[in-house]
Amino acid sequence: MKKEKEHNNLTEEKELVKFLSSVTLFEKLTKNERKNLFKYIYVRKFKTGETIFKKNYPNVVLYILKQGELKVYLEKEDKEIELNRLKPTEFFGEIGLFLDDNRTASVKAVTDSVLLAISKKDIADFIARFPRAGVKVLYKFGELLSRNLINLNKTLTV
Amino acid sequence: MIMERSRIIKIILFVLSVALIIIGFWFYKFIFSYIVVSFIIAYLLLPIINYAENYQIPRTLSILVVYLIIGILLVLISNLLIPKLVQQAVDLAEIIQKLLRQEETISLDSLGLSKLSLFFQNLESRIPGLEMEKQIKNFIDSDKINDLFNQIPLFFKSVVNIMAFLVVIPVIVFFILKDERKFTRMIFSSIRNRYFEFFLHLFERIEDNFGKFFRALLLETFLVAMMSIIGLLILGIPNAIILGIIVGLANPIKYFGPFIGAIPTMLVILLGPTPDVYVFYIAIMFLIVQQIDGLILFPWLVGKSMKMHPLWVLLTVIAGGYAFGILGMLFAVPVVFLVKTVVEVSHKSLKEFEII
Repeated sequence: MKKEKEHNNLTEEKELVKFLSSVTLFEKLTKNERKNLFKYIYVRKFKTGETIFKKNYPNVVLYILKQGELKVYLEKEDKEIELNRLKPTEFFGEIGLFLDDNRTASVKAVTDSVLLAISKKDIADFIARFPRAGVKVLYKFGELLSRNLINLNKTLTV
Repeated sequence: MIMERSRIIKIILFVLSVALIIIGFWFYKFIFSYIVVSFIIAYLLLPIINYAENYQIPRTLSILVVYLIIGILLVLISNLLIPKLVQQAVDLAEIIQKLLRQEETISLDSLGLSKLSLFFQNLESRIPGLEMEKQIKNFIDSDKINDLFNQIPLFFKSVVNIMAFLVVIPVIVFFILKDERKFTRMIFSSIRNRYFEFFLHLFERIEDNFGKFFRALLLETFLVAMMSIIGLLILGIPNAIILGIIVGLANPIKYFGPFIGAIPTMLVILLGPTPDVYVFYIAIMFLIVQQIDGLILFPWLVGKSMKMHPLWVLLTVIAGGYAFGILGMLFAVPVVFLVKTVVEVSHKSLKEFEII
């Protein structure tokens, strides 16, 4: 019984470590680095309609969507204004890594979803302890943010 | 209606968790001191293990290496130091026993310390309510001394206890060090989604505030003990190591600690073969140590991380002393500071997460 559980844990770990390579943020990490990162990850399961967080909550963790679909929205006079839909391997809450601001929008699960949560503090810890891997992650962050900026500029000029 | 229901559930949960904590404390009270000591040791060793892990060294291996190094150091130290240390503890115990054997109420006069007694009386007439003699008598009070002896592992009387201590503590420390992340992950994974981020936030903030304070306090204690031992060794006082350790351990008691810590040293000098004039030298030495601590170490290490008003600290120390004696004085400030941190941080976080 116990062995079986351990075995399940192991396969879960393997699967998650593999999944991490499909997340753009972590695609450059080696298998070993991903294994180290895995130790910081909490697996959270959300039911349909469950709120992940609301606007103005403190920014504590970065989430990566593993399964399901999420809705990013703002509440205005009891109406929900949808901003974005999130699909698996997409991540959100990254603003908190660089700014001490609170959440800028609310997020809700559209279907039953599995999310991976990494605490902001643990990411800082990971980067400090594994600088080689940390640089890769931070470079990727910079790349993604720059790309967003270019896209935004394009939509403004069009 | 829904509001009320969730409220009732909240209250029930609160009562249940409090009951669980109380039962837990009651059940584990016998090994409580082991666990506390283990956590303190693990807390100090954790940075080393984490650092080694950066270089792909498995935790188990690095823990074993650290244990091996500590073991070798212990063997070396015990061959050189322990016989001395035991002798010193026995000496000190003898001196205290000698004090206790005197049936009549102990007064400084009866110990042939009329000058010191006069000094205290003089002091008391100037500062009423100080009652130094009473304090010293209380300190030498046999029950309290026995209590103290029972609680300090160094003074474990029976071999069985020492063996249990030597075997159990390393095992507990080993598992804390090895599975540190697993433990925290297990705990946080069991929290419901609504409160997950809240508790994570809470834990990180408390760790941030209190952990810094606690580490600084331990380092300060260690440094003061080292300085005192060096000072005592230079002055050639017998039992220097154990007396220095006592000074260091008493030091975290704000305002009163230095005096409490100095009492055993003074007694050893006055009752032992060392000339009485050394009391004066020792006083100067302790004064220097206290100045270094008060002007450099405390503001540099502890002061930054402890946000408590000095008056509150003073009152807390006195209250702790009234409630639980010397150990109360020692633990009052850290415990109150921990509670203060928890209350403050949870209040803020509860509001931010719109739970209240």
